Amino acid sequence: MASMNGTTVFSRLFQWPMRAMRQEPHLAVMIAVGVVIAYLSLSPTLMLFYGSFLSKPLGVPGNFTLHHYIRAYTDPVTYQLLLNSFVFATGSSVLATTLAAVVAWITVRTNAPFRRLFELTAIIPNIFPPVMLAVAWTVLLSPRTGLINRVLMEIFGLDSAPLNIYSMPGMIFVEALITMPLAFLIVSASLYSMDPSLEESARVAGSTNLQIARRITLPIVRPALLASLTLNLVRAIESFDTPAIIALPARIEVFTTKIYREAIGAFPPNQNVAAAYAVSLLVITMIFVYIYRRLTSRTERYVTVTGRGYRPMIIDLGKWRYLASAIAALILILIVVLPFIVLLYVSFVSYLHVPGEKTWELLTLDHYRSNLTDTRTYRALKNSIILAVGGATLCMLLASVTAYMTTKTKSAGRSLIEALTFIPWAFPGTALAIGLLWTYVYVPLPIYGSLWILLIGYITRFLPYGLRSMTSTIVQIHGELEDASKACGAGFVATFRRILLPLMRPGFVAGWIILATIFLREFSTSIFLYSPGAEPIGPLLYHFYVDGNLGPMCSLGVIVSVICLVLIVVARRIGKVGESFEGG
Amino acid sequence: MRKTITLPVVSLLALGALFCLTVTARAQGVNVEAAKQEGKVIVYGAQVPQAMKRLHAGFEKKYGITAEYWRGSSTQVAERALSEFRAGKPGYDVVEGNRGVQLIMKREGLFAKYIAPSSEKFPAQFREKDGLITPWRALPISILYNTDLVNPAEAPKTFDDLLSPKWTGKISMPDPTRHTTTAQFLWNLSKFKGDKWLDYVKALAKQKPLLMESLAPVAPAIIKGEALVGITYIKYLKQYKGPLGYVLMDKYLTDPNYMSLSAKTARPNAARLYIEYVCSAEGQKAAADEGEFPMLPGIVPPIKDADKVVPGMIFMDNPSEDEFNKLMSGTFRQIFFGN
Repeated sequence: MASMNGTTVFSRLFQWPMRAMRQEPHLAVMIAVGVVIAYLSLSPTLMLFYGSFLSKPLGVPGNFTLHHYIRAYTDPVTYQLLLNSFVFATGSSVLATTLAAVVAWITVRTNAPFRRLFELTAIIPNIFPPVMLAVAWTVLLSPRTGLINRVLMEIFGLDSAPLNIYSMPGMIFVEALITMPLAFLIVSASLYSMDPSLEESARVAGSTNLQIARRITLPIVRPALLASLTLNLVRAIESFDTPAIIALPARIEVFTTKIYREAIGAFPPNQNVAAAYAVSLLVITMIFVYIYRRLTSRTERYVTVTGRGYRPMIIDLGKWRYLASAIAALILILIVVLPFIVLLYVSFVSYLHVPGEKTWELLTLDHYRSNLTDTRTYRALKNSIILAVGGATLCMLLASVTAYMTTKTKSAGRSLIEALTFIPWAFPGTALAIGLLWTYVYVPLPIYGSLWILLIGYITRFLPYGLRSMTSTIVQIHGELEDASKACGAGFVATFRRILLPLMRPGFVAGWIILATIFLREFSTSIFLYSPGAEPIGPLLYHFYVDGNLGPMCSLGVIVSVICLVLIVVARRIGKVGESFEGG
Repeated sequence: MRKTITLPVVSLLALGALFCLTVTARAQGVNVEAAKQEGKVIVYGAQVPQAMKRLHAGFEKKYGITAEYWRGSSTQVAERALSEFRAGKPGYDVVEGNRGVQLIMKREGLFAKYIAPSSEKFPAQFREKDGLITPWRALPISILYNTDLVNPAEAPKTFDDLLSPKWTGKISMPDPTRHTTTAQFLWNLSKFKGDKWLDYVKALAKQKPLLMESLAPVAPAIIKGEALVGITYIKYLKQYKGPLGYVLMDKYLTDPNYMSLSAKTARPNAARLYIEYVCSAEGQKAAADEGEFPMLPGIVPPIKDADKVVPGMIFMDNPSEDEFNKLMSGTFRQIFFGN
């Protein structure tokens, strides 16, 4: 009888969610999505806090202590690195936004020749691993052997190198080049979508080009400029790509290098202190992401709206149009052409040297041969492709359902889910990695030390990219289609699969491309989380660099760029997306 | 008569049996079939992966067992192995690294005793009595220079020569506040200079050396011409292509590296077989072909005058963990960075 009762209770418990699912499918999906996002966001956050207050190292039971915070904040070095991080982040975000604004204006609003070509500055960098861009610039601007320095020294007869990449300005310059494409997307989208009638009215009223730019254009794009500044500030504060290549040798300490050194490089390593620094970094990025979201709360969608109904007014620059083209071309050369030439050059010579007569003798295919026949490289490529394809697909599915729930339904948990997605927005890769290490070292599942921990890390960190792409697509889908489907008797799942997903495809594919290319090149989270057999490309590239194997590194960089290109082409073919690539 | 003949023979046989038993009791054989069943071995090590390729290819070809290798600096290897061990999730079967970090891990109980039979042929002074860590390669440190930019006749002959003004700003070495082996190397200069070793370090710091993350990138920095000379391992002459030469000296401070069996390995037979293979003549030859100075007498790397280096190798002493901390965060930070 007791057993009968137990069975009955169990079957009722089991039936409840099924019934709820039938009666309120939105609510059930909302709960499922909420649980997944809550788990992804909160578990590493809470464990990061836990680790920072624990007296013992990772994996050892300990007591509550404030010692690590006291140690961190009584060390004068902390304040120096705080200052360094802000100088680095502010400098690079201002430079990136300025460069982006210039190229965007020339591309979208002027009659400069070849202006469509300059849009490549926004697309091509998506195929470069960011660490490669930083390495390329060290090859060009290192103080003693930098190729540009050598040329300048020869031309001007200088005794010492005029430029030094291993410096704060060097870091700012490289980070700005890395983050400039994102700034370009935000600013150019704003320029594309602005109503030209305002400018035309001003012109009719007798305003000059300069007056129009100052009084009309600038105020309209100001939110986009501020959004770009804030977003790039956050990206630079949390960046580990440029600091790993430039700040470590230059002995400039920023937050991310400090976390890396405490967690991995110190002797003995101290992951509790690393967690304490990571918590501070998380708090800082959260404040700035909050500001960013406030700034863009009303205008967020302009990023992906590609000027429907508007044709921006083209400004005739007269003879100045050639200068405009030259400026945009110079930026394109700095971001795309020069680094790629350096990458190719280093990948085809036995060892790095200033090009000259002996270069012909040193030409080799060995670096490509060794990479293409090396099981470690092969495995890393396989791992990264699995993570890119599988991770991007899972992330976009989660983003699709989440975006649908937060934009198309009025369910109660909607605002809670929105609040939870705030955490991944702000989570720096390094801090997330430390949080995940503290989480999965205790979870009794085979996640720690496998590809799964990387997959979870990638999806958590980059979910906002997918959300951004899907939200902007879903708001454009009219509710009548869903209503019609439901009227014909289709349930929520059938409607989502048959009606909504096909309509979401452009946004889905655009988001998928961005995520897949990011996952293929990801470095700052992976370097903390990977393990033998589960090593992706990012850490492999970094280890080549650390060991001074620039040839194998650059040849692998070229191979990865080609794979990224193939992924983009294939995905675009599958999704048949045209111009909607500027989704992220 | 018969009795007198038999006794010595029996005694000799008994002595022989005793000797064999002693050796067998020390060295531990491996169940090859069980190792093959286990299928793979996971190694965490400080050696660059390219230099392990030949060794692993030979092991895999001979036994059909995959060697998966995760590489970090010695410090990173120790940190990862310790964290995983404490969490009860050791992902490794074998740990490779320098003596300093291996001793720390040994103290924490990470290793199980295993004496590879082939390691019995190593010179007695290199072998470890407790069998918890097994030496397999030695890394002598010298001065390397760019042969395109420095005439061998003008290259420094001793570490003291590096203090000449002509090398100011042209030396590369790892950062001793970050790199344990370099901190250990500078500390061990007391073997040559007695109490004045610290004065030497101060004078070296005044030469404004280009500081790198570890010993490996010193060689490429010299090849590129970023530095003309540098303090690093001799083995890089084989491991990096480019115009590199090294300075022959009387004595070389040497960093021995060890292989150790995990106390919680999931693949004990494959792990033992791996260590045995590394110590065998075949494994030692494979390592030497990549530029390593192996432990087995008679095998040297294909580097000019490598046989002259071997007699001059002096193993470095190990500072305690506290001493390391004081040197890296205190003494050397003050000397090299003034804070």
